[in-house]
Amino acid sequence: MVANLQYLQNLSSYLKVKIEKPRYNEDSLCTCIVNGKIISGLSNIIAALLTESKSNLSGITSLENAEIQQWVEYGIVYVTHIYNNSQNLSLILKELNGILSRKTYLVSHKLTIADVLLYYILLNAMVSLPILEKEKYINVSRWFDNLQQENSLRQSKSFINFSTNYLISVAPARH
Amino acid sequence: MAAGTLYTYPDNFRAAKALIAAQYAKANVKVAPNFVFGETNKTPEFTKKFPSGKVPAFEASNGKYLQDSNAIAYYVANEQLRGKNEYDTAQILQWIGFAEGEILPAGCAWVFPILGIIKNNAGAQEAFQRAKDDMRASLTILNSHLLTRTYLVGERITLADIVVACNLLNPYKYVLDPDYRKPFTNVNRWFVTLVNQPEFKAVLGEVVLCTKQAQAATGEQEAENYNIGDKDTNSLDRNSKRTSKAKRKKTRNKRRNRRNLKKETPKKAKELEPAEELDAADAALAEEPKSKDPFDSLPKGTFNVDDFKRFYSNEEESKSIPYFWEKFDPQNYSIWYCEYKYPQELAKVFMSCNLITGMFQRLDKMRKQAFASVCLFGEDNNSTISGIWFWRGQELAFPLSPDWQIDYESYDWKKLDPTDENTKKLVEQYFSWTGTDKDGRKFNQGKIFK
Repeated sequence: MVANLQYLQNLSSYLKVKIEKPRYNEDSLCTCIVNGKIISGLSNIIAALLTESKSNLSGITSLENAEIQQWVEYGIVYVTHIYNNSQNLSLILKELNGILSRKTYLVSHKLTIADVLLYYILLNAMVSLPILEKEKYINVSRWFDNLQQENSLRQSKSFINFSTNYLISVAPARH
Repeated sequence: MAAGTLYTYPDNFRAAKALIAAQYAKANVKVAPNFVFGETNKTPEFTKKFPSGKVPAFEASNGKYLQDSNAIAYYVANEQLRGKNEYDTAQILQWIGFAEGEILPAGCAWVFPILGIIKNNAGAQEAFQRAKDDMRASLTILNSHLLTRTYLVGERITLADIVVACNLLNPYKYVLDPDYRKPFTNVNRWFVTLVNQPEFKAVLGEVVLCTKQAQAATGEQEAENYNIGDKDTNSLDRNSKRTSKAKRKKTRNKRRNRRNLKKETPKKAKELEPAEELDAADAALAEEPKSKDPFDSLPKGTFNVDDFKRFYSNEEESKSIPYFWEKFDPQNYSIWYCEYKYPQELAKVFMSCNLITGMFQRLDKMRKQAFASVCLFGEDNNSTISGIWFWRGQELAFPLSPDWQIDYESYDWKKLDPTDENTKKLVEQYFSWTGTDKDGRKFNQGKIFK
């Protein structure tokens, strides 16, 4: 749970919007102050950060924004649980791998807050993911590698190595 | 930052490379207005600047000249597109080489016969099969490259992506049907992502991927079986029940496609170098019979069209119109009134004028035995097109040649009686560019076909 505050910090510094007094309130909801207003709930805070930041990480159409919302909820409700047990992680990676085989970004054809949030949630898992697993979830790896090229997104963290010498290109599997 | 003028015909996938690069670099690159393919690029002024006479050609605002789409795209690009270090730039060059040397020949051999740019012939099946196989080989290479990469070079969009995607544009639009492209998930994802970037969209518009593989028409049926137009119609029919609109769209698509291909014909014919991959195309070109003047089958009569045109160009209308009636041979020539069927679709005046001059250009071979004055009445968003024509023969001349059938269906045609007073009035009005259309819109511009 403490990790959620970490994701908030990440997003806040990426979007260059300050959050004050991040904490869990009595209902164990993420709470903080954005631009003088107290906001509770992770996805509400993300929405507020996005509005404040004037970034172009939202969608263009309302359908795109609804999809973004869906991915943010998915991230908070499911992806944050990958650290509870390893089965969750492989389930999520499998699911994302399927989706990202056909898409460059989660929503529409551009980077949105959905990608950014999932990047931060998945970050620790990707750091410790064995190379064979990276290869197994090749589409997730490609997507992640593309995102981490942006310095302001990666912040002070070092690149995760997605070696391009994948086994699959050396010895392609025949199906 | 590079700024300047790009000479090209519309919807040229080569010019698109430069225009997309300019979108990314925010370079001020304008497409030359009034460029008429086959005319502008044949003028001495043009060939002095661009000796090959090929388009796209670029004239920078500092007076520098460039030819070749990839070179122009490089020049108008920014640092991100050109590669952030020497190795990235080298890789970009490598992909440009791949796009030109591998993708384009296969793509052209496959798509051009379908678009009618080169003629399909009996031996074509083999060539088609080889083009399909070559394309598959290229896409396989791209696909495995893009398995681990989002873009071709350096994880961000570069000229490599722009050039390769533009060379794949026609194949994706016309022949790479869902079955064929299915194994190339990574290429598909990459391509769809690219053509949906705002910078690509600004130049290419909405790119619709092929749903059913277009087939090349054989021999003489070419004009009838225009598969691409038909295919669009089918999907339109499904999507909207407005069949009449769809039908109109069909002729328009047909027209548009044919227009493109007609414009590309001379250029492509020239550009097809005797590379091995293209021998099918060369053979097709070689087999195309020398075209004869379709008017040859009609009696010549006494009217000298050239002579009248000279007179009309050199003299005031007060002299040339009487001269016309004096020389005109009603036995062997006929006078026609035409009116554009879809005036509600006419927006900007300059676009409507391009519509007229474009039609003239596509009717090039008709010039010898025909003359027209076509006028635009009204202003932006409220205008009509109509004109007076005459040509050899008593029937509508356009069916005489498949080359002439691109535009005429968009117009209503009425044969005029040369002895009627009203005809005299119309001829006078249109030849002297005066008066109004039937709803009272003022004369705006006229174009002479001579």
